[in-house]
Amino acid sequence: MDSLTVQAIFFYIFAALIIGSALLVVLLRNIVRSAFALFFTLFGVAGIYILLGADFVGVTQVLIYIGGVLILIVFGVMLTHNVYSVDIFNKLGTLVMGTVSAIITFTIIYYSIKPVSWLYIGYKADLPTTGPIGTQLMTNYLLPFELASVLLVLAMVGAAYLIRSEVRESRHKGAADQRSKIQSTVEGKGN
Amino acid sequence: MTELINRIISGLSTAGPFMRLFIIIAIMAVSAAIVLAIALLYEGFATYAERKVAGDIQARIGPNRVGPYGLLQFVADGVKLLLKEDIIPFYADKWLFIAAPYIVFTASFAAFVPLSYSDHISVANLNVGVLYIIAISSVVSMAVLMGAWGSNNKWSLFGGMRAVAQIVSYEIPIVLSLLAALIIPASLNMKDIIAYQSGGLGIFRWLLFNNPFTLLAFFVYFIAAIAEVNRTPFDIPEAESEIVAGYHTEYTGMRFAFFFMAEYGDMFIVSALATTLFLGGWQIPFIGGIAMPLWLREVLQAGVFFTKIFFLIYIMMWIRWTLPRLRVDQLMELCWKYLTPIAFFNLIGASVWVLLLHDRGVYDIIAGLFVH
Repeated sequence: MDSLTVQAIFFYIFAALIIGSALLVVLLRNIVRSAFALFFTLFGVAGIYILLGADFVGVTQVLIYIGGVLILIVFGVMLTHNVYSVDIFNKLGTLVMGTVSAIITFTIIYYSIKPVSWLYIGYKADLPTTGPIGTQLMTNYLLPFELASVLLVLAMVGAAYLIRSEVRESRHKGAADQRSKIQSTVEGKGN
Repeated sequence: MTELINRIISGLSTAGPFMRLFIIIAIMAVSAAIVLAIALLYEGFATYAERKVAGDIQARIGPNRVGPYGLLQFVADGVKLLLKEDIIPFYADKWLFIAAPYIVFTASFAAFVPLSYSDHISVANLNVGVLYIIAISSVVSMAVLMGAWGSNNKWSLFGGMRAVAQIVSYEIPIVLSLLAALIIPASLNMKDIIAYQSGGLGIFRWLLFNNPFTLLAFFVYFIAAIAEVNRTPFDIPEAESEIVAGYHTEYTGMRFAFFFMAEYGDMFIVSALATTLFLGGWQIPFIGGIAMPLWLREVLQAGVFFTKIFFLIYIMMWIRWTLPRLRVDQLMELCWKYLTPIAFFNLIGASVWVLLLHDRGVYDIIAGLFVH
């Protein structure tokens, strides 16, 4: 049980990091600081994954949530107007709604975790997890995996289409403007 | 040394829980200190080497005053940066401004951990080593954005936005070309990847020569890696003729030095990844098969590893002082219209090669002709 105690100490360190920074995300007045506080929450979750021996999931958590999602969130926050004067945290309605949704989320997670009979498989961080995950994705879970990739392709096509139509319009517009300008100068010279 | 480690490990199984925790943390701290010392020493000499290379290319002498041949220039620079006034702009977001350099440097330094320096020398032999380096490097872009926003300066913000757009874009060709090489040893573990490249006189079984697609993937990776570490010709995030100094415009003294050291650390990391994945890592060429004492072998292997890395870093410096800077649109065009499609083509080609020829590289095929 000794290794469990060491693991428990690390678990409490990561749990304190997660809860503390999550409280900062909710309570900070400045929304950009909230977004950056989310960094420590996501990093703590990655730490918990690695503590459980799920090294692949932990590293993927850092790669996708910090390298991708968090940067998108920060970009989104920076592009909002009046970043320094957001006072959405003071409205009572948000507090009530937030409490209700927090209780609902907690209930769902609690009752989905409780009936599972968890067994402790010991500290197995040395075993590679990448191979089994890959095999499972390519055999038992092929359909969900392929569906997820189809979803991503659709999102990419949509993004490309949105940008492309704008470019096409502006290019047509720009070309037309230039043509009329040239025509007017030519006519001006002719006169 | 080996006896000492064995005694620590045997003590670990008998000690109480808090003693164990103490020992584990002590081992972590000592190994981190060793890696930090190596990283800082390398970063110091890299700044000196950069100036000497720049001097050579521009027909100047370069630093030659402090110490023999100016070798101690980086010590003088370090003292100067420590003694500079620490300026925090009045309208800056102080928390983000102060935190950003530390996170940038920590993320850059954390990537040194899974590297395999020789057969037995590595800090942590992670099963997901390559993925770990890619993941921890993506933290850098977040911290750069933090500093850029915290400075409350338009140049900084533009620099930060450019840096993130560039790093996020160039991560795609990097990961795809790494994947083209990774499917051959079928492992993310640094040590396994290097072990796969043994044999063939220590040169011909490098993944670089495994098939034409990995050869191409190496060059795609190297070009994209130069962009990933924000060096000329891809240094638009800190283009001094456009936006002063980009995301570290407002930083002074040691805080600036942290950004600077992180850049040199990243150069080492991308070169180390290229060495491990494409250039055979620490495999000793030609004389690797000769029997020699363990310590000599380890020293030679580490020497080979560092030589390959420093050669790639020298090429990066050479390119920096030779080529002009790209424009923003040219940069994105290079990534999305050329490097990404080539990287996709490489990945598909390498997969087909592995499927059809059952893991055999060009060298194995040619050697097989003579054996049979």
